[in-house]
Amino acid sequence: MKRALCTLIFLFIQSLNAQKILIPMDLKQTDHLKAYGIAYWTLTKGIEVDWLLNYRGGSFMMDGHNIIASECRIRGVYFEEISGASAAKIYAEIQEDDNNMDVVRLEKAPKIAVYVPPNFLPWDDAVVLAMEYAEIPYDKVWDEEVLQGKLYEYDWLHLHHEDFTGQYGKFYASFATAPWYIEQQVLYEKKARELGYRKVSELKKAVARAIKDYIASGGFMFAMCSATDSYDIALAAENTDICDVMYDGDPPDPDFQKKLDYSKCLAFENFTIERNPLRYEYSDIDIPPSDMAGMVNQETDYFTLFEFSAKYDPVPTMLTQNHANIIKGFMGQTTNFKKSLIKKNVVILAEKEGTEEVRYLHGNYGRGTFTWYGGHDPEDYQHAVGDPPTDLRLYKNSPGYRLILNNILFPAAKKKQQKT
Amino acid sequence: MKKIIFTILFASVLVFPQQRNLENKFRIAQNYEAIGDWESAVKIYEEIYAADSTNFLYFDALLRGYDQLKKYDAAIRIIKSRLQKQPNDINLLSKLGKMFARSGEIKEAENVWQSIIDANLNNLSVYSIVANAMIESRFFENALRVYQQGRKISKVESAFAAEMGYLHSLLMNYIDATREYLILLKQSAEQLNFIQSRISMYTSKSEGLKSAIFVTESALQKEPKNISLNRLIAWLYMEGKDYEKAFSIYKIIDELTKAGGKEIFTFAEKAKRERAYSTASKAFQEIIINYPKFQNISAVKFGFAETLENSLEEADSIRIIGDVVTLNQNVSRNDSVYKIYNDIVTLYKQVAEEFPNTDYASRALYRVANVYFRKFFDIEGSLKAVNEIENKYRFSGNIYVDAILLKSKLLIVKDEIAEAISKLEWIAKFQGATVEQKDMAKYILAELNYFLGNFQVALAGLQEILKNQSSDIVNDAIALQVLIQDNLEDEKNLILYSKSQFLKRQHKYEKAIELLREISKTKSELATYSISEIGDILTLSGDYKNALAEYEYLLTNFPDDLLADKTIFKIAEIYNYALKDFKKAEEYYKKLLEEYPSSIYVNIARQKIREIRGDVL
Repeated sequence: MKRALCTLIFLFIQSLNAQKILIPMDLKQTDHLKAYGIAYWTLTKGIEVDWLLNYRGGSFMMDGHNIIASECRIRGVYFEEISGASAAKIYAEIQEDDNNMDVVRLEKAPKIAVYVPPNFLPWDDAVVLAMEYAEIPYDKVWDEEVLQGKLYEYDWLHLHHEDFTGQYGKFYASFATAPWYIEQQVLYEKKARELGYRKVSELKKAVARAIKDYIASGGFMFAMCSATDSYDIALAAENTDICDVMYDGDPPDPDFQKKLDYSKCLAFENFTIERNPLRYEYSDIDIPPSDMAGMVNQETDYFTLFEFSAKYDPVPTMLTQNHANIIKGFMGQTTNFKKSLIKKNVVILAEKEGTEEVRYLHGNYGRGTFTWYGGHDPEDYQHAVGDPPTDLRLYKNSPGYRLILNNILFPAAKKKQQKT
Repeated sequence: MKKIIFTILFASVLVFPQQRNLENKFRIAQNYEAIGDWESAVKIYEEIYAADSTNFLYFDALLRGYDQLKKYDAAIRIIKSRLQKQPNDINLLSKLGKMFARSGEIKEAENVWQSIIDANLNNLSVYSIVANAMIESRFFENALRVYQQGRKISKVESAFAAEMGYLHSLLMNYIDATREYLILLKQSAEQLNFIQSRISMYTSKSEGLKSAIFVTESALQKEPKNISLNRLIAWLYMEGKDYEKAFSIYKIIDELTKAGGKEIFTFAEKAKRERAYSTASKAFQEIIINYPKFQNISAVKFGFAETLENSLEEADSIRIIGDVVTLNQNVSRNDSVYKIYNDIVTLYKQVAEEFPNTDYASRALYRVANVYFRKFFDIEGSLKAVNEIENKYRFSGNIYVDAILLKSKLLIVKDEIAEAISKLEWIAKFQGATVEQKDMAKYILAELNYFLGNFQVALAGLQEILKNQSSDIVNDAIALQVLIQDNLEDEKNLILYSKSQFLKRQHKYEKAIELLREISKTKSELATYSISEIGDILTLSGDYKNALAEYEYLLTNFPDDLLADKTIFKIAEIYNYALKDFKKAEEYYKKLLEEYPSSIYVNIARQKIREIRGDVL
């Protein structure tokens, strides 16, 4: 008994003396984006990471190994070496009922797949940019892999500027003669036929359904820009044809609007599909800048992150960890989601105050979740086709990009017992 | 007769209002169509088509309506009914095929399209009509088969080659696409530009470029003297940045076309523009050796020397590292590159001698002066070339002013200060000089005053430069201004320090080190700067061992000095580039990150560590 007590006291003292590495994620952090990469890299080394929700901007804490400190220095991530006693003090502060904070222990590095077309497209993909800058490994998947069920090998599926409606991004009016557009259409048609689908739109619907099944069985989906609304539209249009002749070789079903089945959608309902095949919009889910003439201004375009209870709603809290709660707006083919068209069970994570514009949302489906983020590139207000990719070395502390990277770690979280 | 006329009139009275009625309804239906109400439009079209099925406009409108409403069965029915009256109407049959395709009855569509061809086997335009209908329905493979059949029937090898090439490229069959374009090229060499533009649709992809090269090389093996094929393969090699292969082909083209070096010259200029200096220099040399009477030989010789010099510069592993240390850039006479630089100088001199009073001559002399100064530190050699420009090429514009700038630097090294000042003052006022040249002259003047201990004059000169914040020399001007201002009160040591820098500029290293040692023993703020300078001078001399010792001394004895981070970085750079001890280099880069996380050198140190680790970024 005496011996056991001694051992316990020894371990306690040792834990007090043990060094910890704290990676603050507040304004002191020199490179917020690479900090996620360090957390991920640490997990790959078999070392657990604590995500300190709402503590100094959602900081990370881990055991004080020299290799972690060295890697932080090499990657330019600010960190603090603190004693076990200081760490214990931080944990105690977090656990206080009055503080809206919590600790989430991350145990394993999640496997991430990014849905990326095999061909070159003349725009960048913020999701891929964020992963590559943060040095977080990911695999690329495309339609064939999704239909073969390969998604089940991954914890996360990330998507960006995709079009699940089979209308090739509705770029026809501007880029019908551009080589990349022609090649994209032929390539997708060829793939559709190879996989046994008469039309690309049918293939994309099948892919959308496969992704939905993946979520239902516990997968996590993060989507940006047009991969959000076009995904739900594809699900709703399962039994009708919304594509005009230039997209699938035949006219759309004149009654497609009536035939939409909103019950199939994850996030939206009662939306109206854009009938004009030449207009660069899918539906009224997104409020395009043209509809807000004079109201859209880069200088005043900001959206606000909601605050959630860290101890009771850890997932939305994780998704909104940031060092700023007012984020610079940015446009995309799908910039925002009209609030009145969002299903009631969906959690709104960020919105432009005083407007109908929701920018970031989250929901559960089956055993999995989906998180959708409007806009194309958080650091390029109006990213146009052919623009060079954003150099994230210039935006190391981007709050907008942080929201993307919040969507990689939570499958690593150890399941905690519900508080209620 | 009367009866007949009466009957006709009576019939007209009955028919014309009915016709007018149909036309009115047709217009109403068209209005519905315009607003997208296809249901209402089709109802009316059906009504008027029932009343007059012979009218093509009514038929066509109804067909359009059925298509829009996806009533493909109805569309097929009316086409078939019309076909009963016009069974050989190719357009109708083609529309029937299209409707079958849209309804998903692919087999039926293919049968209809094939039936059109079967009925018009020898009519080549029918193949185009059918293939276009297929392309419209996005059946590219079918369209290809139709064109192939057409070619077979026509017995013309090049029939539909452009169309088939395009379809193959769409389907990413780059080998077949290139084959088709080569058939076209064989038929007409004038089509080379068109063919290049078509092939360029896929050469940006490695697979596309590889395929195009493979096919063209194979064709060339059979016809090695085919000029168009040679031009095409040369262009493909250039697309793939394989300049050496492109050069070998241009030599063949030059020979085949008896161009007397013109083709090689064109290539050399292209390669120079693409910064492929090594290959470009070979091409220029080829002309010099084989076509000594080449029309534009002055450009060739200058190009040869210039590209040779540039390729040497690019391959030079001893280069300025970071922004802190200049490793020894002078070429020793024992160095193997000395001979090449010497050859380059000889070439430039030849250009100047053989083509006097030309632009090439003045440029060549300026390059000679530069090589002598920067590479050999041969002041007299450099001055000789500069003097020649000054005497003979007064009207050669920028080159003349650049030469005078260079001369002022040479005069400073030679201690001929009064003349240097006069030259610099002249440039600063000369209307023909560019703003950059004037700013540079002002800076050299200010620096010279600093060297001479005229600190207030130097400061006034620097202030003048700082008025133009966009100037390239502004950063240097600020650095010098800060150095002078910070140490003005310690004038004795500042004078010693500036003298030492003057001596360093004159390559009088031992004397410079002597003065610096003197300062380093004092408690002056310039003491650590002096130790650092000694290290820099030793580095410049290639004495890395002693340079490292100076830097280490500085670190050990003045760990909190402002220069500490820069010194660690210098040590790391010497290990990395001069001594190739990458482990040590990594160790020092890491030391910098650990001990001076706010240093301006951390970003570059991080990058260097990752390069040493071989990280893929």
